[in-house]
Amino acid sequence: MKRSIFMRVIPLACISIAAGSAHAGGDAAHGAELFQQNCAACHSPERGQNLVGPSLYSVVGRAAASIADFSYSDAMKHCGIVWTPDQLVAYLKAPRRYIPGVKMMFPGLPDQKDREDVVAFLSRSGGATPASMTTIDAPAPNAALGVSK
Amino acid sequence: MSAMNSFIFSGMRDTQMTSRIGERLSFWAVSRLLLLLCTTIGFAESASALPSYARQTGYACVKCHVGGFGPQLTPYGVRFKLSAYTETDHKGLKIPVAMFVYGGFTHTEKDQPTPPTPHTSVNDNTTLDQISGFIAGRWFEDVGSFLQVTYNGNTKGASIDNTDIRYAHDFVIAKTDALIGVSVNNNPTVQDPFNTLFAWNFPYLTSAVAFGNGDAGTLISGGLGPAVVGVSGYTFVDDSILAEVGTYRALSPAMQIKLGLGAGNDIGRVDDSIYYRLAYLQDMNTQAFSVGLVGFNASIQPGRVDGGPVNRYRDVGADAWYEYLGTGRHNFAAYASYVREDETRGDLFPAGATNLTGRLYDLRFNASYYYAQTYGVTVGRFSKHGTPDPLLYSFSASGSPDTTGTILQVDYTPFGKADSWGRPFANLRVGLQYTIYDKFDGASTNYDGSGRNASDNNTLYLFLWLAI
Repeated sequence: MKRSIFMRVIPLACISIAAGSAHAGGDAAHGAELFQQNCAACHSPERGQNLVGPSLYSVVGRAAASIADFSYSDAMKHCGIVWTPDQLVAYLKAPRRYIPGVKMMFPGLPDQKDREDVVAFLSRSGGATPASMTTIDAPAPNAALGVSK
Repeated sequence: MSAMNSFIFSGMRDTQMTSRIGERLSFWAVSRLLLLLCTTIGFAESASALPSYARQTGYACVKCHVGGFGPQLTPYGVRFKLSAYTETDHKGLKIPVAMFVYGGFTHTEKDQPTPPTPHTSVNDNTTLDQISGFIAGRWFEDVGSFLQVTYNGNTKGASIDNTDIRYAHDFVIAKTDALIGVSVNNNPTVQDPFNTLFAWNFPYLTSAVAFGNGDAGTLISGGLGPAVVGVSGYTFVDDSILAEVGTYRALSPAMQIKLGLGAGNDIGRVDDSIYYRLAYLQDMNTQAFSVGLVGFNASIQPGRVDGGPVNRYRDVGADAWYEYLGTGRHNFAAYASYVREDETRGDLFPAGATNLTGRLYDLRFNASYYYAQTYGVTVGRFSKHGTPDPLLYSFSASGSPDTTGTILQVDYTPFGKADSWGRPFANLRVGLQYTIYDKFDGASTNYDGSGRNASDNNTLYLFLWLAI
């Protein structure tokens, strides 16, 4: 059991630290605007506020389909992804092509810089920085241990 | 549904016919006129952003509708509809019930020859046009509906209206997202998610007491209306390719009466029908476009006589759709459609139609702009023309169905945004619509032989539309 928790925390720590740096160049302020325009109708950045889409609080570093009281698609449940910044940037380009079968009806952000900005915003607003790493929702065990597409 | 969309063969001059033919022509004239009334009044415009969908999803109306009221679907709204109206935020009890009401003031350039309904005058009518109740929303995980029952304030009757009950499920085939669904509906094109085809195209709301006599239309443009039931299967692949095939049958006369569609309005037996649709959607997030093809073939035996002669219709059309949504401050939308109908009048010809075969063409396009999803202006153009037939189109002195014109509309939609007061229960649109006819039934002047000009039918409609 201790080993399991240890094995879950270490990867998260690595992911979260990476989140703080990999897209540190992203413009979080612009990302916030883009989030409001494109994401806010379905997602809240606040903790525990699920809308049509799940809360994106601390999404960076979180395993896919890990909010217990949210109804995810089978595709999302079984994708095995942990949302690293790179995964998020790639996913947001065309979500339903990245993970076919997901419910999210969003065509994507075609511009790489825009996606990086949104992820920069999510990294800050969700607290997925090293300082707030402990607030990350508990991931699904198998997902936290392996990032796979 | 607008008067321009109604499907009739205009009244025929039975004085020129033998008595037997005269009876049949009278039957046709009356039945088509009743069908016209049914389609223009009883089955009047049905489209709107339904608050039950907003309550179900937690979205503001603008998420799915250009201008925050409907029926103009955004790309997101297109997917919501194709996904069987089932998306939800899973919060609390969701009751898929909604209603709307609309009415207004109608002024025609020149008085109509007779009052358009028993309860109205020949001009300047203020009417409560429609009160509709809906079962609209998610039933189960993959099943939802748009089911409408309408009380018509002009005919003082209630009847079934646009209905679309769907199943849809997302599958992954060859690593590609493929939505596969089935629609059970009662009006060809009511299941379509784009605002280019008949059931949901501009004008989205029209006066029920405007001048409509002699306004011909294709079969796919409302000719069957709610008097049929159809099933179509569709797939939406990779959020871009929509393919659909379906078929329709007429409801029995008894069932039509039960559903409030009235006695004597039977359209006859519908056989060999096939509806098909192919469209390509490209959604670029801030803007989107689609292009498509649509077709509908059917045979109609008006008297439901086994082995009796049938009128065959083959409609084929193309459409294009573009929306710029940007950041929501400036919205622009443009829609176009073109339909060609080939008719073989196996029943009508021996009954008195001049030509065994004929064609009808229907071209429409419109563009709308909304500022702040509140203030809207729309300009639409319509043009119908076809093979003259003095008996089929007897409202016209020249026997021509040709009708062209322009529709201008300005409207104000104060609610429907994320921060709107009373959301999602308060929904209102106020609009002023003006229809200008360049040509009516084949001519600009004296089109009916009794001195009436096309411009005499120009119609001003001030409307109020509420939804809760």
